[in-house]
Amino acid sequence: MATVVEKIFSAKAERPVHADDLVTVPVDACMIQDVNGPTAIRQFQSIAETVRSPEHHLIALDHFSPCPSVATANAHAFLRSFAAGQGIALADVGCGICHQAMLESGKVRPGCIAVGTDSHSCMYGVVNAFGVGVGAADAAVVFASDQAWFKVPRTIRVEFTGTLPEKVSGKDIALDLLHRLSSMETDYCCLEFGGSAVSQISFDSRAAICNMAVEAGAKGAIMPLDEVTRAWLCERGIPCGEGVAPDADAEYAALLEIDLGALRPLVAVPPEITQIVPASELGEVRIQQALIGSCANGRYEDFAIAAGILKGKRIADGVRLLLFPSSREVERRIRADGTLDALLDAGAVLMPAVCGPCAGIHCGLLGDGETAVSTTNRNLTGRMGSRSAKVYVSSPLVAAYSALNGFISDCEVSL
Amino acid sequence: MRGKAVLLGDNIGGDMIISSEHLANQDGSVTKYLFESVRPDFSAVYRPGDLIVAGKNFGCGSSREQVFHALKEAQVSCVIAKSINRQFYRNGINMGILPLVCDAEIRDGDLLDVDVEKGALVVNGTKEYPLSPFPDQLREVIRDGGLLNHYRKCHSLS
Repeated sequence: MATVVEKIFSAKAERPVHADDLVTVPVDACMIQDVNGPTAIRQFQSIAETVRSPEHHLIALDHFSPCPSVATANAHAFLRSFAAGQGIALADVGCGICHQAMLESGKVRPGCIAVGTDSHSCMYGVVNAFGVGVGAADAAVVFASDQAWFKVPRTIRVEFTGTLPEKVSGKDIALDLLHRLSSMETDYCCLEFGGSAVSQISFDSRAAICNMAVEAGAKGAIMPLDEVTRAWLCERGIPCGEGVAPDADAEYAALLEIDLGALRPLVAVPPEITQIVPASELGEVRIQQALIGSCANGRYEDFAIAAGILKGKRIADGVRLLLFPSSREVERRIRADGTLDALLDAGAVLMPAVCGPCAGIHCGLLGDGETAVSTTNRNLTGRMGSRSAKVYVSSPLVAAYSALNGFISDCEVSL
Repeated sequence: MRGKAVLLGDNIGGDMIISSEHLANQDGSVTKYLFESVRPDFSAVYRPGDLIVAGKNFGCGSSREQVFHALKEAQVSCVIAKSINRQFYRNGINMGILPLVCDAEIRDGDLLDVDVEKGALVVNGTKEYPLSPFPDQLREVIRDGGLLNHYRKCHSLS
Protein backbone atom coordinates (compact mmCIF):
# COMPACT_ATOMS: atom_id res chain seq x y z
CA MET A 1 0.00 0.00 0.00
CA ALA A 2 2.79 2.40 -0.86
CA THR A 3 3.20 5.15 -3.44
CA VAL A 4 6.33 5.35 -5.58
CA VAL A 5 7.95 7.95 -3.37
CA GLU A 6 7.15 5.95 -0.22
CA LYS A 7 8.77 2.91 -1.84
CA ILE A 8 11.87 4.90 -2.81
CA PHE A 9 12.26 6.22 0.75
CA SER A 10 11.50 2.81 2.31
CA ALA A 11 14.24 1.19 0.23
CA LYS A 12 16.76 3.84 1.30
CA ALA A 13 15.69 3.79 4.96
CA GLU A 14 15.71 -0.05 4.93
CA ARG A 15 12.34 -0.10 6.69
CA PRO A 16 8.78 0.72 5.64
CA VAL A 17 8.20 4.47 5.84
CA HIS A 18 5.07 6.43 5.03
CA ALA A 19 3.99 9.92 4.06
CA ASP A 20 4.78 12.51 6.78
CA ASP A 21 7.51 10.34 8.39
CA LEU A 22 10.78 12.13 8.98
CA VAL A 23 13.79 10.16 7.77
CA THR A 24 17.51 10.50 7.34
CA VAL A 25 18.50 8.57 4.23
CA PRO A 26 21.45 8.05 1.93
CA VAL A 27 21.36 10.38 -1.07
CA ASP A 28 22.57 8.97 -4.39
CA ALA A 29 23.57 12.15 -6.16
CA CYS A 30 23.87 15.89 -5.65
CA MET A 31 24.15 18.71 -8.14
CA ILE A 32 25.35 22.20 -7.27
CA GLN A 33 25.35 25.07 -9.75
CA ASP A 34 27.17 28.37 -9.94
CA VAL A 35 24.65 30.58 -8.10
CA ASN A 36 24.82 29.04 -4.64
CA GLY A 37 27.52 26.45 -5.34
CA PRO A 38 30.25 28.65 -3.83
CA THR A 39 28.17 28.97 -0.60
CA ALA A 40 27.64 25.19 -0.52
CA ILE A 41 31.39 24.62 -0.90
CA ARG A 42 32.34 27.11 1.82
CA GLN A 43 29.81 25.47 4.13
CA PHE A 44 31.21 22.04 3.21
CA GLN A 45 34.72 23.26 3.98
CA SER A 46 33.52 24.37 7.42
CA ILE A 47 32.41 20.82 8.31
CA ALA A 48 34.65 18.42 6.37
CA GLU A 49 37.74 18.14 4.17
CA THR A 50 37.00 15.32 1.75
CA VAL A 51 33.87 14.71 -0.30
CA ARG A 52 32.72 11.23 0.62
CA SER A 53 31.50 10.05 -2.82
CA PRO A 54 32.74 12.58 -5.38
CA GLU A 55 31.80 10.30 -8.29
CA HIS A 56 28.11 10.70 -7.35
CA HIS A 57 27.96 14.45 -7.80
CA LEU A 58 28.07 17.14 -10.46
CA ILE A 59 29.04 20.82 -10.46
CA ALA A 60 27.44 22.80 -13.29
CA LEU A 61 28.57 26.25 -14.47
CA ASP A 62 25.38 27.29 -16.25
CA HIS A 63 23.80 30.43 -14.77
CA PHE A 64 26.66 32.99 -14.93
CA SER A 65 27.89 31.33 -18.08
CA PRO A 66 29.91 32.51 -19.97
CA CYS A 67 30.77 34.84 -17.08
CA PRO A 68 29.27 38.33 -17.30
CA SER A 69 31.58 39.79 -14.61
CA VAL A 70 34.94 39.41 -12.90
CA ALA A 71 33.27 38.35 -9.64
CA THR A 72 31.42 35.48 -11.33
CA ALA A 73 34.57 34.49 -13.26
CA ASN A 74 36.35 34.23 -9.91
CA ALA A 75 33.46 32.17 -8.51
CA HIS A 76 33.73 29.84 -11.52
CA ALA A 77 37.47 29.46 -10.91
CA PHE A 78 36.71 28.53 -7.29
CA LEU A 79 34.14 25.92 -8.38
CA ARG A 80 36.49 24.44 -11.02
CA SER A 81 39.32 24.19 -8.55
CA PHE A 82 37.10 22.49 -5.93
CA ALA A 83 35.76 20.03 -8.54
CA ALA A 84 39.27 19.12 -9.70
CA GLY A 85 40.63 18.85 -6.15
CA GLN A 86 37.82 16.56 -4.98
CA GLY A 87 37.36 14.60 -8.22
CA ILE A 88 33.80 15.80 -8.85
CA ALA A 89 32.52 15.89 -12.44
CA LEU A 90 32.25 19.40 -13.87
CA ALA A 91 29.83 20.60 -16.55
CA ASP A 92 31.84 23.65 -17.61
CA VAL A 93 30.56 26.62 -19.64
CA GLY A 94 28.44 25.39 -22.56
CA CYS A 95 28.42 21.69 -21.57
CA GLY A 96 24.85 21.82 -20.39
CA ILE A 97 22.22 23.33 -18.12
CA CYS A 98 22.58 21.70 -14.70
CA HIS A 99 19.49 19.43 -14.77
CA GLN A 100 19.98 18.14 -18.31
CA ALA A 101 23.69 17.63 -17.62
CA MET A 102 22.77 15.70 -14.48
CA LEU A 103 20.36 13.40 -16.36
CA GLU A 104 22.78 12.77 -19.23
CA SER A 105 25.60 12.03 -16.75
CA GLY A 106 23.76 8.90 -15.61
CA LYS A 107 24.19 9.89 -11.94
CA VAL A 108 20.40 9.78 -11.46
CA ARG A 109 18.78 6.40 -12.13
CA PRO A 110 15.39 4.82 -11.45
CA GLY A 111 14.80 4.51 -7.70
CA CYS A 112 17.45 7.09 -6.77
CA ILE A 113 17.14 10.02 -4.41
CA ALA A 114 18.92 12.97 -6.02
CA VAL A 115 19.14 16.55 -4.78
CA GLY A 116 20.27 19.80 -6.33
CA THR A 117 20.72 23.36 -5.11
CA ASP A 118 18.22 24.54 -7.70
CA SER A 119 14.44 24.48 -7.48
CA HIS A 120 13.97 22.65 -10.80
CA SER A 121 15.82 19.57 -9.48
CA CYS A 122 12.39 17.91 -9.42
CA MET A 123 13.09 17.23 -13.13
CA TYR A 124 15.14 14.14 -12.11
CA GLY A 125 11.79 12.42 -11.54
CA VAL A 126 11.60 11.90 -15.31
CA VAL A 127 13.81 8.82 -14.86
CA ASN A 128 11.57 7.35 -12.14
CA ALA A 129 13.70 8.85 -9.36
CA PHE A 130 12.94 11.29 -6.55
CA GLY A 131 14.60 14.63 -7.25
CA VAL A 132 14.22 17.72 -5.11
CA GLY A 133 15.75 21.15 -4.69
CA VAL A 134 17.62 21.75 -1.42
CA GLY A 135 19.65 24.49 0.21
CA ALA A 136 23.41 24.95 0.24
CA ALA A 137 23.70 23.56 3.79
CA ASP A 138 21.97 20.34 2.68
CA ALA A 139 24.37 20.02 -0.26
CA ALA A 140 27.33 20.60 2.08
CA VAL A 141 26.19 17.76 4.34
CA VAL A 142 25.49 15.44 1.37
CA PHE A 143 29.03 16.09 0.09
CA ALA A 144 30.38 15.27 3.56
CA SER A 145 28.21 12.28 4.46
CA ASP A 146 25.94 11.20 1.55
CA GLN A 147 23.02 11.88 3.91
CA ALA A 148 20.06 14.23 4.10
CA TRP A 149 16.88 14.53 6.15
CA PHE A 150 13.46 14.53 4.53
CA LYS A 151 9.82 14.43 5.40
CA VAL A 152 8.40 11.67 3.21
CA PRO A 153 5.97 13.54 0.96
CA ARG A 154 2.32 12.76 0.42
CA THR A 155 1.48 11.91 -3.17
CA ILE A 156 -0.91 13.38 -5.70
CA ARG A 157 -1.55 10.78 -8.41
CA VAL A 158 -1.96 12.22 -11.92
CA GLU A 159 -3.47 9.89 -14.53
CA PHE A 160 -3.25 10.72 -18.23
CA THR A 161 -6.02 9.43 -20.48
CA GLY A 162 -7.21 10.06 -24.05
CA THR A 163 -5.18 10.73 -27.18
CA LEU A 164 -2.50 13.42 -27.36
CA PRO A 165 -3.45 15.97 -30.08
CA GLU A 166 -0.85 16.72 -32.74
CA LYS A 167 -0.09 20.29 -31.66
CA VAL A 168 0.13 19.55 -27.93
CA SER A 169 3.39 18.68 -26.16
CA GLY A 170 4.80 18.42 -22.63
CA LYS A 171 4.69 22.14 -21.90
CA ASP A 172 0.95 22.35 -22.62
CA ILE A 173 0.35 19.35 -20.36
CA ALA A 174 2.48 20.99 -17.66
CA LEU A 175 0.65 24.33 -17.89
CA ASP A 176 -2.75 22.63 -17.76
CA LEU A 177 -1.56 20.64 -14.74
CA LEU A 178 -0.26 23.78 -12.96
CA HIS A 179 -3.60 25.47 -13.52
CA ARG A 180 -5.46 22.52 -11.99
CA LEU A 181 -3.05 22.22 -9.07
CA SER A 182 -3.30 25.94 -8.26
CA SER A 183 -6.54 25.31 -6.38
CA MET A 184 -5.12 22.34 -4.44
CA GLU A 185 -2.74 21.96 -1.50
CA THR A 186 0.45 20.88 -3.23
CA ASP A 187 3.15 22.06 -0.83
CA TYR A 188 5.16 19.08 0.49
CA CYS A 189 3.41 16.80 -2.07
CA CYS A 190 5.04 14.65 -4.70
CA LEU A 191 3.32 14.19 -8.07
CA GLU A 192 3.19 10.62 -9.37
CA PHE A 193 2.34 10.22 -13.06
CA GLY A 194 0.73 7.30 -14.84
CA GLY A 195 -2.41 6.26 -16.67
CA SER A 196 -3.25 4.68 -19.99
CA ALA A 197 -2.00 7.64 -22.05
CA VAL A 198 1.36 8.29 -20.35
CA SER A 199 3.02 6.06 -22.95
CA GLN A 200 2.07 8.61 -25.65
CA ILE A 201 4.10 11.30 -23.92
CA SER A 202 7.73 11.41 -25.14
CA PHE A 203 10.70 11.48 -22.78
CA ASP A 204 11.48 15.09 -23.70
CA SER A 205 7.89 16.14 -22.99
CA ARG A 206 7.91 14.24 -19.68
CA ALA A 207 11.06 16.11 -18.67
CA ALA A 208 9.23 19.41 -19.31
CA ILE A 209 6.31 18.27 -17.13
CA CYS A 210 8.59 17.18 -14.24
CA ASN A 211 10.61 20.39 -14.56
CA MET A 212 7.51 22.58 -14.18
CA ALA A 213 6.11 20.70 -11.15
CA VAL A 214 7.89 22.97 -8.68
CA GLU A 215 5.97 25.92 -10.08
CA ALA A 216 2.90 24.38 -8.43
CA GLY A 217 4.82 24.07 -5.16
CA ALA A 218 5.25 20.30 -5.55
CA LYS A 219 8.22 18.71 -3.81
CA GLY A 220 8.84 16.07 -6.46
CA ALA A 221 7.41 14.70 -9.72
CA ILE A 222 7.91 11.07 -10.69
CA MET A 223 7.28 9.43 -14.06
CA PRO A 224 6.94 5.64 -14.46
CA LEU A 225 9.80 3.48 -15.72
CA ASP A 226 8.39 2.22 -19.03
CA GLU A 227 9.62 1.62 -22.57
CA VAL A 228 9.93 5.36 -23.19
CA THR A 229 12.25 5.86 -20.19
CA ARG A 230 14.15 2.62 -20.82
CA ALA A 231 14.87 3.63 -24.41
CA TRP A 232 16.30 6.98 -23.28
CA LEU A 233 18.45 5.42 -20.55
CA CYS A 234 19.66 2.49 -22.67
CA GLU A 235 20.67 4.78 -25.52
CA ARG A 236 23.12 6.39 -23.10
CA GLY A 237 24.24 3.15 -21.45
CA ILE A 238 22.61 4.12 -18.13
CA PRO A 239 21.39 1.08 -16.14
CA CYS A 240 17.58 1.01 -15.77
CA GLY A 241 17.22 -1.42 -12.88
CA GLU A 242 13.79 -2.66 -11.91
CA GLY A 243 12.13 0.70 -11.52
CA VAL A 244 9.61 1.62 -8.85
CA ALA A 245 5.84 1.26 -9.35
CA PRO A 246 3.10 2.08 -6.85
CA ASP A 247 1.05 -0.61 -5.09
CA ALA A 248 -2.50 -0.96 -6.39
CA ASP A 249 -3.85 0.12 -3.00
CA ALA A 250 -1.44 3.02 -2.45
CA GLU A 251 -2.90 5.93 -0.49
CA TYR A 252 -2.99 9.25 -2.30
CA ALA A 253 -3.63 12.75 -0.99
CA ALA A 254 -5.55 13.42 -4.21
CA LEU A 255 -6.23 11.91 -7.62
CA LEU A 256 -6.26 13.93 -10.81
CA GLU A 257 -7.22 12.77 -14.30
CA ILE A 258 -6.09 14.69 -17.35
CA ASP A 259 -7.71 13.92 -20.70
CA LEU A 260 -4.91 14.73 -23.14
CA GLY A 261 -7.44 14.85 -25.98
CA ALA A 262 -9.03 17.97 -24.48
CA LEU A 263 -5.77 19.97 -24.44
CA ARG A 264 -4.80 22.77 -26.80
CA PRO A 265 -1.61 24.84 -27.17
CA LEU A 266 -1.53 27.09 -24.09
CA VAL A 267 0.30 30.13 -22.78
CA ALA A 268 0.86 31.31 -19.22
CA VAL A 269 0.04 35.00 -19.04
CA PRO A 270 2.49 37.04 -16.94
CA PRO A 271 3.05 37.42 -14.08
CA GLU A 272 1.30 34.16 -13.02
CA ILE A 273 2.41 30.76 -14.28
CA THR A 274 -1.05 29.41 -13.44
CA GLN A 275 -2.92 32.01 -15.50
CA ILE A 276 -3.43 29.79 -18.52
CA VAL A 277 -5.09 30.82 -21.79
CA PRO A 278 -5.26 28.91 -25.10
CA ALA A 279 -2.82 30.64 -27.47
CA SER A 280 -5.59 30.99 -30.06
CA GLU A 281 -7.76 32.98 -27.64
CA LEU A 282 -5.14 35.43 -26.45
CA GLY A 283 -5.80 38.19 -28.97
CA GLU A 284 -2.95 39.82 -30.86
CA VAL A 285 0.01 40.05 -28.49
CA ARG A 286 3.02 41.35 -30.45
CA ILE A 287 6.45 40.05 -29.43
CA GLN A 288 10.00 41.34 -29.81
CA GLN A 289 11.73 38.15 -28.65
CA ALA A 290 11.06 34.43 -28.80
CA LEU A 291 13.17 31.97 -26.81
CA ILE A 292 13.23 28.24 -27.48
CA GLY A 293 15.32 26.25 -25.04
CA SER A 294 16.22 26.11 -21.30
CA CYS A 295 16.04 23.20 -18.87
CA ALA A 296 12.24 23.22 -19.35
CA ASN A 297 12.17 22.91 -23.16
CA GLY A 298 15.66 22.75 -24.63
CA ARG A 299 15.69 19.16 -25.81
CA TYR A 300 15.74 17.57 -29.27
CA GLU A 301 11.95 17.32 -29.61
CA ASP A 302 11.55 21.02 -28.83
CA PHE A 303 13.88 22.15 -31.62
CA ALA A 304 12.47 19.56 -34.03
CA ILE A 305 8.95 20.93 -33.49
CA ALA A 306 10.19 24.47 -34.10
CA ALA A 307 12.17 23.45 -37.20
CA GLY A 308 9.10 21.70 -38.62
CA ILE A 309 7.29 25.05 -38.48
CA LEU A 310 10.11 27.38 -39.55
CA LYS A 311 11.88 25.32 -42.25
CA GLY A 312 12.06 27.31 -45.47
CA LYS A 313 10.49 30.40 -43.86
CA ARG A 314 11.71 33.61 -42.21
CA ILE A 315 10.77 34.85 -38.78
CA ALA A 316 8.86 38.16 -38.67
CA ASP A 317 10.74 41.46 -38.92
CA GLY A 318 11.45 42.94 -35.50
CA VAL A 319 11.54 39.54 -33.75
CA ARG A 320 14.68 38.00 -32.23
CA LEU A 321 14.59 34.21 -31.94
CA LEU A 322 17.13 32.79 -29.49
CA LEU A 323 17.88 29.07 -29.17
CA PHE A 324 19.28 27.69 -25.91
CA PRO A 325 19.87 23.92 -26.17
CA SER A 326 19.89 22.29 -22.74
CA SER A 327 23.12 20.42 -23.42
CA ARG A 328 25.93 19.84 -25.88
CA GLU A 329 24.40 16.44 -26.66
CA VAL A 330 21.18 18.16 -27.76
CA GLU A 331 23.19 20.72 -29.73
CA ARG A 332 25.07 17.93 -31.56
CA ARG A 333 21.82 16.16 -32.44
CA ILE A 334 20.09 19.22 -33.85
CA ARG A 335 23.24 20.08 -35.77
CA ALA A 336 23.59 16.56 -37.19
CA ASP A 337 20.17 16.20 -38.81
CA GLY A 338 19.62 19.68 -40.21
CA THR A 339 17.22 20.85 -37.48
CA LEU A 340 19.60 23.59 -36.43
CA ASP A 341 20.24 24.76 -40.02
CA ALA A 342 16.49 25.05 -40.64
CA LEU A 343 16.17 27.29 -37.59
CA LEU A 344 19.28 29.38 -38.34
CA ASP A 345 18.16 29.85 -41.97
CA ALA A 346 14.83 31.13 -40.65
CA GLY A 347 16.70 33.79 -38.67
CA ALA A 348 17.31 32.18 -35.27
CA VAL A 349 20.44 32.79 -33.19
CA LEU A 350 22.15 29.80 -31.57
CA MET A 351 23.25 30.44 -28.00
CA PRO A 352 25.37 28.10 -25.83
CA ALA A 353 23.82 25.45 -23.56
CA VAL A 354 23.39 27.79 -20.59
CA CYS A 355 20.55 29.37 -18.57
CA GLY A 356 20.90 32.74 -20.32
CA PRO A 357 18.11 35.28 -19.78
CA CYS A 358 15.78 32.75 -18.08
CA ALA A 359 17.60 33.46 -14.82
CA GLY A 360 17.48 37.20 -15.55
CA ILE A 361 21.26 37.38 -15.78
CA HIS A 362 22.43 37.96 -19.38
CA CYS A 363 22.44 36.72 -23.03
CA GLY A 364 19.13 38.20 -24.18
CA LEU A 365 17.50 40.29 -21.45
CA LEU A 366 14.33 42.21 -22.30
CA GLY A 367 14.18 46.01 -22.39
CA ASP A 368 11.50 48.27 -20.92
CA GLY A 369 8.04 47.46 -22.22
CA GLU A 370 9.20 44.54 -24.41
CA THR A 371 7.26 41.29 -24.73
CA ALA A 372 8.66 37.80 -25.17
CA VAL A 373 7.24 34.37 -25.72
CA SER A 374 9.49 31.83 -24.08
CA THR A 375 9.65 28.08 -23.49
CA THR A 376 11.30 28.67 -20.11
CA ASN A 377 9.58 28.00 -16.78
CA ARG A 378 8.88 31.35 -15.09
CA ASN A 379 6.98 34.46 -16.16
CA LEU A 380 7.10 36.54 -12.99
CA THR A 381 7.77 40.28 -13.15
CA GLY A 382 11.38 41.10 -13.98
CA ARG A 383 12.33 37.45 -14.52
CA MET A 384 13.94 38.08 -17.91
CA GLY A 385 15.17 41.65 -17.58
CA SER A 386 13.16 44.85 -17.28
CA ARG A 387 10.37 44.90 -14.70
CA SER A 388 8.10 46.42 -17.35
CA ALA A 389 8.80 43.57 -19.81
CA LYS A 390 6.38 40.67 -20.15
CA VAL A 391 7.22 36.97 -20.56
CA TYR A 392 4.52 34.64 -21.92
CA VAL A 393 5.53 31.05 -21.19
CA SER A 394 4.61 28.51 -23.89
CA SER A 395 5.52 25.35 -25.76
CA PRO A 396 8.11 25.40 -28.58
CA LEU A 397 5.25 25.14 -31.10
CA VAL A 398 3.68 28.39 -29.89
CA ALA A 399 7.10 30.06 -29.62
CA ALA A 400 7.93 29.09 -33.23
CA TYR A 401 4.59 30.22 -34.70
CA SER A 402 4.80 33.43 -32.69
CA ALA A 403 8.30 34.14 -34.06
CA LEU A 404 6.96 33.48 -37.57
CA ASN A 405 3.89 35.73 -37.23
CA GLY A 406 5.33 38.38 -34.90
CA PHE A 407 2.54 37.88 -32.40
CA ILE A 408 1.57 35.02 -30.10
CA SER A 409 -0.18 32.30 -32.07
CA ASP A 410 -0.48 28.54 -32.56
CA CYS A 411 -0.71 28.41 -36.36
CA GLU A 412 0.62 30.31 -39.38
CA VAL A 413 -1.39 33.44 -39.99
CA SER A 414 -1.08 35.18 -43.36
CA LEU A 415 -1.98 38.82 -43.14
CA MET B 1 11.25 33.41 23.85
CA ARG B 2 9.15 36.42 24.72
CA GLY B 3 8.42 39.24 22.34
CA LYS B 4 5.97 41.57 20.68
CA ALA B 5 4.11 40.27 17.60
CA VAL B 6 4.83 42.02 14.30
CA LEU B 7 2.06 40.91 11.98
CA LEU B 8 2.32 40.03 8.27
CA GLY B 9 -0.20 38.54 5.81
CA ASP B 10 -0.53 35.35 3.75
CA ASN B 11 1.80 34.16 0.96
CA ILE B 12 4.84 36.17 2.00
CA GLY B 13 7.44 34.98 -0.53
CA GLY B 14 11.23 35.12 -0.37
CA ASP B 15 11.28 38.22 -2.57
CA MET B 16 8.90 39.95 -0.13
CA ILE B 17 11.05 39.05 2.88
CA ILE B 18 13.84 40.86 1.13
CA SER B 19 13.99 41.87 -2.52
CA SER B 20 16.84 40.31 -4.51
CA GLU B 21 17.68 43.82 -5.66
CA HIS B 22 18.86 44.67 -2.14
CA LEU B 23 20.69 41.37 -1.76
CA ALA B 24 22.65 42.10 -4.91
CA ASN B 25 23.46 45.73 -4.10
CA GLN B 26 23.98 45.46 -0.40
CA ASP B 27 26.33 47.96 1.21
CA GLY B 28 26.35 46.46 4.67
CA SER B 29 23.08 46.23 6.55
CA VAL B 30 19.96 45.03 4.75
CA THR B 31 17.72 45.03 7.84
CA LYS B 32 16.03 48.27 6.82
CA TYR B 33 14.71 46.59 3.64
CA LEU B 34 13.06 43.58 5.33
CA PHE B 35 9.40 43.15 4.31
CA GLU B 36 9.40 46.67 2.78
CA SER B 37 7.02 45.72 -0.07
CA VAL B 38 4.37 44.15 2.20
CA ARG B 39 4.81 46.19 5.38
CA PRO B 40 6.59 49.47 4.66
CA ASP B 41 6.70 50.38 8.38
CA PHE B 42 8.43 47.11 9.29
CA SER B 43 11.86 48.60 9.93
CA ALA B 44 10.32 51.36 12.05
CA VAL B 45 8.20 48.97 14.12
CA TYR B 46 10.47 45.93 14.48
CA ARG B 47 12.96 45.73 17.35
CA PRO B 48 15.36 42.80 17.93
CA GLY B 49 13.51 40.26 20.02
CA ASP B 50 10.14 40.96 18.42
CA LEU B 51 8.42 37.92 16.90
CA ILE B 52 7.36 37.79 13.25
CA VAL B 53 3.83 36.40 12.84
CA ALA B 54 2.49 35.56 9.37
CA GLY B 55 -0.50 33.86 7.75
CA LYS B 56 -0.56 30.95 5.34
CA ASN B 57 2.24 29.74 3.07
CA PHE B 58 5.04 31.85 4.56
CA GLY B 59 8.30 31.71 2.59
CA CYS B 60 6.79 30.57 -0.71
CA GLY B 61 8.71 31.08 -3.96
CA SER B 62 12.39 31.74 -3.88
CA SER B 63 14.05 31.06 -0.52
CA ARG B 64 17.73 31.56 -1.05
CA GLU B 65 20.14 31.28 1.85
CA GLN B 66 20.72 35.05 1.65
CA VAL B 67 17.14 35.56 2.85
CA PHE B 68 18.08 33.75 6.06
CA HIS B 69 21.29 35.74 6.42
CA ALA B 70 19.18 38.91 6.17
CA LEU B 71 16.75 37.62 8.84
CA LYS B 72 19.66 36.60 11.07
CA GLU B 73 21.23 40.02 10.71
CA ALA B 74 17.96 41.46 12.08
CA GLN B 75 18.20 38.94 14.96
CA VAL B 76 15.05 37.13 13.88
CA SER B 77 15.17 33.76 15.68
CA CYS B 78 11.87 32.28 14.53
CA VAL B 79 8.84 32.82 12.31
CA ILE B 80 5.35 31.98 13.55
CA ALA B 81 2.86 31.26 10.76
CA LYS B 82 -0.37 29.40 9.99
CA SER B 83 1.58 27.36 7.43
CA ILE B 84 5.11 27.51 6.13
CA ASN B 85 6.35 26.68 2.64
CA ARG B 86 8.41 23.52 2.33
CA GLN B 87 11.68 25.11 1.24
CA PHE B 88 11.51 27.83 3.90
CA TYR B 89 10.72 25.23 6.57
CA ARG B 90 13.70 23.13 5.49
CA ASN B 91 16.14 26.00 5.18
CA GLY B 92 14.84 27.52 8.39
CA ILE B 93 15.74 24.43 10.39
CA ASN B 94 19.04 24.08 8.58
CA MET B 95 19.97 27.74 9.08
CA GLY B 96 18.74 28.05 12.69
CA ILE B 97 15.64 30.22 12.16
CA LEU B 98 12.78 28.22 13.64
CA PRO B 99 9.71 27.68 11.48
CA LEU B 100 6.89 27.57 14.05
CA VAL B 101 3.50 26.51 12.74
CA CYS B 102 0.65 27.65 14.98
CA ASP B 103 -3.02 28.39 14.41
CA ALA B 104 -3.25 31.08 17.09
CA GLU B 105 -5.28 34.27 16.92
CA ILE B 106 -2.65 36.96 17.18
CA ARG B 107 -2.99 40.72 16.72
CA ASP B 108 -0.24 43.17 15.90
CA GLY B 109 1.59 44.14 19.09
CA ASP B 110 0.35 41.20 21.21
CA LEU B 111 2.86 39.92 23.75
CA LEU B 112 3.86 36.35 22.90
CA ASP B 113 5.60 33.71 25.02
CA VAL B 114 6.99 30.85 22.96
CA ASP B 115 8.20 27.63 24.55
CA VAL B 116 9.63 25.47 21.76
CA GLU B 117 10.58 22.55 24.04
CA LYS B 118 7.08 22.41 25.46
CA GLY B 119 5.47 23.21 22.09
CA ALA B 120 3.29 26.05 23.34
CA LEU B 121 2.59 29.66 22.50
CA VAL B 122 0.85 31.99 25.00
CA VAL B 123 -0.81 35.20 23.80
CA ASN B 124 -0.83 38.17 26.23
CA GLY B 125 -0.19 35.84 29.18
CA THR B 126 -3.65 34.32 28.92
CA LYS B 127 -4.54 32.12 25.98
CA GLU B 128 -2.32 29.11 25.18
CA TYR B 129 -2.03 27.49 21.73
CA PRO B 130 -0.08 24.38 20.67
CA LEU B 131 2.81 24.65 18.22
CA SER B 132 3.09 21.94 15.56
CA PRO B 133 5.72 19.65 17.11
CA PHE B 134 9.12 19.00 15.56
CA PRO B 135 10.11 15.34 15.09
CA ASP B 136 12.74 14.22 17.63
CA GLN B 137 15.41 14.06 14.98
CA LEU B 138 14.91 17.70 14.03
CA ARG B 139 14.84 18.76 17.67
CA GLU B 140 18.50 17.72 17.82
CA VAL B 141 19.32 19.83 14.77
CA ILE B 142 17.39 22.75 16.27
CA ARG B 143 19.11 22.44 19.67
CA ASP B 144 22.48 22.51 17.93
CA GLY B 145 21.50 25.73 16.11
CA GLY B 146 21.18 24.35 12.57
CA LEU B 147 22.35 21.61 10.25
CA LEU B 148 26.02 22.55 9.92
CA ASN B 149 26.53 22.92 13.67
CA HIS B 150 24.72 19.63 14.19
CA TYR B 151 26.95 17.88 11.66
CA ARG B 152 30.08 19.43 13.20
CA LYS B 153 29.04 17.94 16.54
CA CYS B 154 27.86 14.49 15.41
CA HIS B 155 29.77 13.89 12.12
CA SER B 156 26.60 12.20 10.89
CA LEU B 157 22.90 12.91 10.55
CA SER B 158 21.67 9.52 11.78
